[in-house]
Amino acid sequence: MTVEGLLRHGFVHLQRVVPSDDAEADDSQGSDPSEPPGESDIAYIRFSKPLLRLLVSGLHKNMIPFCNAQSTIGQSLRKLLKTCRDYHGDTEEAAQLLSFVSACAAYVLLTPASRPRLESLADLRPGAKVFGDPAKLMEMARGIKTWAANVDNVTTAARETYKKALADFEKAANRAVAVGDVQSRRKLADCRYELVRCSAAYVEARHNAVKQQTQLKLCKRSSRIEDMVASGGATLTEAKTKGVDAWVLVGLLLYAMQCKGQETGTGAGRAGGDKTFQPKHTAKALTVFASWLDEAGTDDASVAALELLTTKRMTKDSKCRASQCAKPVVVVARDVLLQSLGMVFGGIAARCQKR
Amino acid sequence: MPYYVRRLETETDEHNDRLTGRYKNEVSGHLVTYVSPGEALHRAVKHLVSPLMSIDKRYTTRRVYISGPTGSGKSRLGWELYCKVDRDKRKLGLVNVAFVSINMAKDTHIKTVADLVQHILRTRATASGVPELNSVETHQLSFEAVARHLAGWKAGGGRTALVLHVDEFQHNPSTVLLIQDAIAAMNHTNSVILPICTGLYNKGFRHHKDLDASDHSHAIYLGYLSAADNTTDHDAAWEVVRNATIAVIGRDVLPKALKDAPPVLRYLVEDLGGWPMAAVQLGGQLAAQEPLKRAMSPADVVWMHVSLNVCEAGMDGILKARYREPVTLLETTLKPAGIYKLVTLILSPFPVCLQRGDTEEGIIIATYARIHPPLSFSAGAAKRTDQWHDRRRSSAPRLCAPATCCAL
Repeated sequence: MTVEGLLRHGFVHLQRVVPSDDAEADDSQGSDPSEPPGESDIAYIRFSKPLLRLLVSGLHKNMIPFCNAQSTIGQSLRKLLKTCRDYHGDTEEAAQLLSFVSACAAYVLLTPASRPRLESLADLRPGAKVFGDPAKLMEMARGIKTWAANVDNVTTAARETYKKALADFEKAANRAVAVGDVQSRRKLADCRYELVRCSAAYVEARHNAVKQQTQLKLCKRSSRIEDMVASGGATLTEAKTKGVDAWVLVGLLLYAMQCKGQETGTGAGRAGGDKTFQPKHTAKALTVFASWLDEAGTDDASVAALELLTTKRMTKDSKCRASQCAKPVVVVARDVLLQSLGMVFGGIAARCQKR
Repeated sequence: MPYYVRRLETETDEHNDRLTGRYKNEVSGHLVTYVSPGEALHRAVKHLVSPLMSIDKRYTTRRVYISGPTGSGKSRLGWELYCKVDRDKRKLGLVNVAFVSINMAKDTHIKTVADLVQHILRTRATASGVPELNSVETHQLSFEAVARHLAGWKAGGGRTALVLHVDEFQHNPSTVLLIQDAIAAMNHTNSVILPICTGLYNKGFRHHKDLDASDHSHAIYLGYLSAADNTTDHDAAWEVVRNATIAVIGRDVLPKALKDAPPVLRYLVEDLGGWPMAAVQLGGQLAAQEPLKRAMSPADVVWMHVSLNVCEAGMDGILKARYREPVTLLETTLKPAGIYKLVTLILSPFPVCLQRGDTEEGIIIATYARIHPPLSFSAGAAKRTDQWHDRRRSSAPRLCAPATCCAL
């Protein structure tokens, strides 16, 4: 099923990345701005959240990403997608973790021609600012690229079968155009069936390969670095852990995550002041992270970087203060929340507030 | 939407139960005051109506195909176009305007223009206020004459127009083309037919030109409610929610602006993502809440007594009941791996590449419309199908590259 195929089912709304400037242009002048988006360009796949809830609620467990989220981190995707719910710190942590794992999974699941650029791990957080030496982040990005390459290699046979079916289909289609008799149309119908079967098998092969070739799984909460490296995958730290809220293991390197501060005030439509996340707040977050690293001792070499997420607005100074950390820091603030975490998780995180 | 929308009857209906559907507090979308999604209506009007203003009074018919996700208001747009033409009829030099809507999914007996004429006359005879024609006359009537008759044209009168709305056009594209051709062949001096087709692109069509290669055909994509910069227009969604509430309880008891609504209600509206169908149902659920039923103005509503989680659950229940079948079909088509990938892509922050030709993503649904009969064609329509293919070959002989675009 292509994106265009999804459009034909009438579910998906495609939001083009580049706004169509020629919306007012006359359609007779070559390009047709009123065309269904899908002819070219880049677009976000959008589902209304009620529709996404409907899709997720009706699905079998193995069709849903993070099917073990309830037993591991105590938050299920179905519950997270509900609008009328508590938006507290735990939800924010879950949104930060799951959005990152989703981005990793999407990168590996996409075929090479569709993958976004990935030079640094921070590229999985579009719009985020990186401070410090990005070497470790680049090394982790290479780890994810290796996963993706492994998935491509393992599925070579399925891809070749699919490409052969595609070539046969094109040949049959050309013959049907040229001849147009019943036999050629029958052949075309057979080729179409085979093509659909082969491409479904290809998608499934990639899906299975991602499970086998990557560490993208949620595991039980843990706070000690050696436990994290041993268990692999991604999870939240145990409650009350200071300095790190979540982590993801890529190869032998850990990507630590911390979320701090919730937006209040009229800008967020809530009671409270309009204070931004100030440099002293950044410094405090980094200090707590540093003490966690100190406690970790020699194991801290496994920690590649910290991701500091805040749903508060940050000034330039506040962000730049992150450069004082011994480890590279990826800063995600309110201004890039939706862009970095995606519409679904970004929207959830933006609403989180202190209890 | 009924085939002949007798809107006045429903607009004056004060009983809520007439407004609601099969499911608890369900609201029928066509009863809710329209909110235009972006430029879609404007563009449809531009294509169809602007040529009426030409000085020489020779109208060259335009073919407008509107597609988009389900629940985005495609069918409604056909009716709204009629309303627009009717409002501006004097400016357009029209004496009268009539509206006819056919649904190619339900009116399966319509295979030719003659079938359409008979269908219009038969169903129109049941509508109030339209003089009946006797059977002898109906056999002699041309499509044009029917259009004139419906619009109340009299000899010596001015120009009249019929807005012909063809809904779910993907179910019978060959008949749609026959109708379009018949309309194009008409003499549009005294009576004009303005055809507007709404529906989804069939599995056989990648591009609207695959369906209709005419130089005068235009496709309009009607997505979710979006602002000019392509971001979701939450204010427009809020307007739909308010309009739906007004349609049920008859009073405007919600705050005028979304920013004045309680935070959780604002979240609910934001989470609709600009989907008009869900906005209508959310409005219906709000209208069922006692504090809103009792209120006379927005100031009277005690929001702490409004159960917004009940509204959310009610809205989800209606959408589940309405979309159970299509969702099941989607699951069957995509298989577990495809669904997993789809959900992952929706949750991720990445856009997808829609280029065709050089990607290897997932299942391809064949797109050779010119050589491949759409799946909905019946065996009995084989002859017309062949004619249709012949026409496709002659009008567009070039074979396009397959749409091997990305994502799933």
